[in-house]
Amino acid sequence: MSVLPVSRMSERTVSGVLSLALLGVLAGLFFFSLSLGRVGGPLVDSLPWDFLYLDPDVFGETNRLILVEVRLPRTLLAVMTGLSLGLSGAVLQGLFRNPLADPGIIGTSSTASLGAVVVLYFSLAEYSNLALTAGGVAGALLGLVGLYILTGKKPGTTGFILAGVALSSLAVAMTSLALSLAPSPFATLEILFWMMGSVADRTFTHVWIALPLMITGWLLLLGAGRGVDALCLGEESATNLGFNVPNIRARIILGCALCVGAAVSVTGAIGFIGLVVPHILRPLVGFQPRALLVPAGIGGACLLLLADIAVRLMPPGPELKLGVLTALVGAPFFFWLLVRYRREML
Amino acid sequence: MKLLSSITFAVFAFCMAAALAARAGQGEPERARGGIVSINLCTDQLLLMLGDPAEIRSVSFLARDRSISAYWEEAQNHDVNHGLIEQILPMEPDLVLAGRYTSRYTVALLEEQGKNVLVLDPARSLEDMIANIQKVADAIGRPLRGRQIIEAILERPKPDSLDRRVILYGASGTTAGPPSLGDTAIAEAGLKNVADELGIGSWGYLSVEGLLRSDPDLIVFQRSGKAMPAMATQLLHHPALTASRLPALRMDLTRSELICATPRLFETSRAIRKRIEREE
Repeated sequence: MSVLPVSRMSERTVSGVLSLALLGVLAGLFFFSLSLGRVGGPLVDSLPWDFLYLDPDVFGETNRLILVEVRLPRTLLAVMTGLSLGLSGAVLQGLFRNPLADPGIIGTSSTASLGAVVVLYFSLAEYSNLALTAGGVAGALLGLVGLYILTGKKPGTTGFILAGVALSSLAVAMTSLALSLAPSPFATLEILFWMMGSVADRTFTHVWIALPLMITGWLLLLGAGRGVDALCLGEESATNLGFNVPNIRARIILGCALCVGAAVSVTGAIGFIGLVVPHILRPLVGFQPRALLVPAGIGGACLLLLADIAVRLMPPGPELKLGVLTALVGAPFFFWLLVRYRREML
Repeated sequence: MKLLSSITFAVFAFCMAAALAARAGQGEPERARGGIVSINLCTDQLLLMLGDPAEIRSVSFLARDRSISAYWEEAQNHDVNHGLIEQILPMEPDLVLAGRYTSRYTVALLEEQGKNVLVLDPARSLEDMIANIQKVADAIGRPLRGRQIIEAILERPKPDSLDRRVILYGASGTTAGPPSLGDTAIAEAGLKNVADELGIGSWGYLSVEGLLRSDPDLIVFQRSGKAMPAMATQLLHHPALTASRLPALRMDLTRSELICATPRLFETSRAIRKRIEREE
């Protein structure tokens, strides 16, 4: 493998510095995202910086509504979702010891969509956001457990990809089936939403529902950092070192299910963030999985927010789905990954 | 070789049978009237409005749905079809009413079968509405009734125009500019359509932010009547749009009157106008 660019510093120091730098970038993007809007017509508009005074007499009630009820929840959700996806990607790549692990590629996002869709369109009880999120988490959990059972204890890349493709296409097909059978007149139109997520026009209700689940997930995943390090050496070595491997595995799967399930149920499936971010950052922090977790999370938030800003800067017309943009960036990255691995194998 | 000749024979026999069948159809005396069948939501409503109930053989199943049909009550007394050729042929209708962009294959097959089909273009303006009423009235043999309705439309009382701006807002953030029935309804109310100012054509999307930014005097939420759960309809409950300090007026409208062009569109116009005037 390549030489570490910062071999002098310890990986944890590098990780800390990198996290701080990324946090700075994120803060900048956050404010840019708040100041940037997209109006239905040809205008790309931005609020003046006086939005910091929230006094409606100075700022205007409409502007206050736009900022607080439209842009703020959208921006927060982009950050939360990006963080969840980046962190999950980094942890899953460690757990499965496979560089292709990403909630989108291994089918977790699709199974979470399926869970949310089934709850949303067929719930007999009064539809509630909480049930929707629960459906998403349950779907993600089922998907991850299914993947783990399918790939077995020593997942080779081929088996891994096959299991992911199988799960993913099954979940997508079942989602389409569920939507075709749904009694709602809009259901078929919403297939696109569940396949290609978006954070446009979300509300604080979505933020408050996703946040507690995501925070629990983040804590579970960050807490599993040392375990992921140990799992790098293989399950047997990890057990010999005194790690409770089934416990670590369960914790990671639950953490990812909570994060990804909650994210998908409010934004739809957004792919490639979890794949791309750990790959970009890994050469910088070195190859200790734990050192990668925090930077990957913050990096994921930066990338998703950047993508959402780009979506809003696009030419007029119906807004591009966020998932389309991440796929447009992510798929070529996949090609590059493929080329690099082939070169390494030669 | 044997196979080829048997295929040739089969084709020949089929053509003969078809020709004979066609001739038999031509020579036959006229059947007892089989009534009129409509297979499109908009032609359903025109038929229900213009036709004699005894002549209406069947309307599409959509016509009974109160969330999309303005004539759902009238439709309850009639048989429904799903626009399938196998349902329509046994009815032996004298006339089939169909829309330009729905059930294309059914229409093509019906025409191939020599059925009398009237295909109507979707109406997006008042002129279209009048033309369609005329066409259907003539086709079903009730030109007088058609003319009466058209005259009533042409002589309708028109409200004086007000400089107030209205926007329609439906599921998924959809809105309508000209030419569309929604735009027509706003114009008939003597008001201005914000979607037109924004350069939105007969159909377009507007984000919540875009809606707030356009600063309308009245937001008309187009709800689908049915409380079916969907991400699309959740948008209409966005807190920024339901906020008590939102400067714009708000009103709810079921969609049924703006889907197809019937004179019930004017009821929608009156409701919109009333909402604006109540505030003044």
